Amino acid sequence: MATTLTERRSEAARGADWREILIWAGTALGVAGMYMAILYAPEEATMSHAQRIFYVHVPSAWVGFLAFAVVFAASVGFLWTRRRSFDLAAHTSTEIGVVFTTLAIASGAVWGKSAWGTWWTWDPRLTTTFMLWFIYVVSLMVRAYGGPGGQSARFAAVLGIVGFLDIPLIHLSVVWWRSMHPLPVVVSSEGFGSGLPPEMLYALLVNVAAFTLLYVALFSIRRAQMGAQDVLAAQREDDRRSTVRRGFPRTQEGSR
Amino acid sequence: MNPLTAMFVGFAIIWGGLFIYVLRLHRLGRAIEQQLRKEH
Repeated sequence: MATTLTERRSEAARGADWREILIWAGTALGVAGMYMAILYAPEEATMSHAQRIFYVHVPSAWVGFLAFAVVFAASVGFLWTRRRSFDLAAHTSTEIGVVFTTLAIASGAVWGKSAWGTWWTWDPRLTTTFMLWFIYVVSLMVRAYGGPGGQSARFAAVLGIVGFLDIPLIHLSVVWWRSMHPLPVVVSSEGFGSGLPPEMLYALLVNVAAFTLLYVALFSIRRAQMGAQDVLAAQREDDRRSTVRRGFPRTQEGSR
Repeated sequence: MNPLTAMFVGFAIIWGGLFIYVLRLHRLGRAIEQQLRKEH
């Protein structure tokens, strides 16, 4: 690695206030998004107010996909170069992706109870999304219980790549198979946002922007935190080694 | 409860939860950075 421990330490110890700005900007946009979702967007004719879950469900799913796209890119980078920074980026994004995919599944279940009368059904869209969530949870478990060393990072990177292949399958599952899930209304063959009235589309876009900003904030905070933990561990190991080196001759003398 | 109020409560819980999550993570990061400064 090109950077020295001193360089990494000073980089990690430098506080970054711009992360706080990101948090507050994301939250302010989130409050605006909440207002638009509840008061600005019109009531849907068939599903009434339950349809408003859409303004949380779709942005959560979008951020989940974005996070796993970052995991995919970072995992490819890690397997290619074996650089720790790629592994940290993949780990960070996996954690955030799992949080937002859980939120997408949970909000979808609440909507499903209202629209279909059931919290869960083994519909193609739901099943493929569950598979995605499960693959990344397994990836986190591999990291947590795989033990130290590069092997668990390599396994997690392979899972990060394999899991990403499920995303096009999720998007096309409602087109390819008979699914109860509504068809895409934002990214569809008829054009961007053509399936929505403008007020609904604007409310959705503001919420998508807020969730994306929150993802960026979470990613930068958690990534910096993992980097700092790495530096602390390396420094403690350094201290331990130098203590052993200093203490070793005395121990030898004492044992004679 | 009025469905619109229920929706508002649900949204507030989600945003409140996300806000607390990101803020706690940020404070934890700060604590680690402080530890790093203290040790060196």
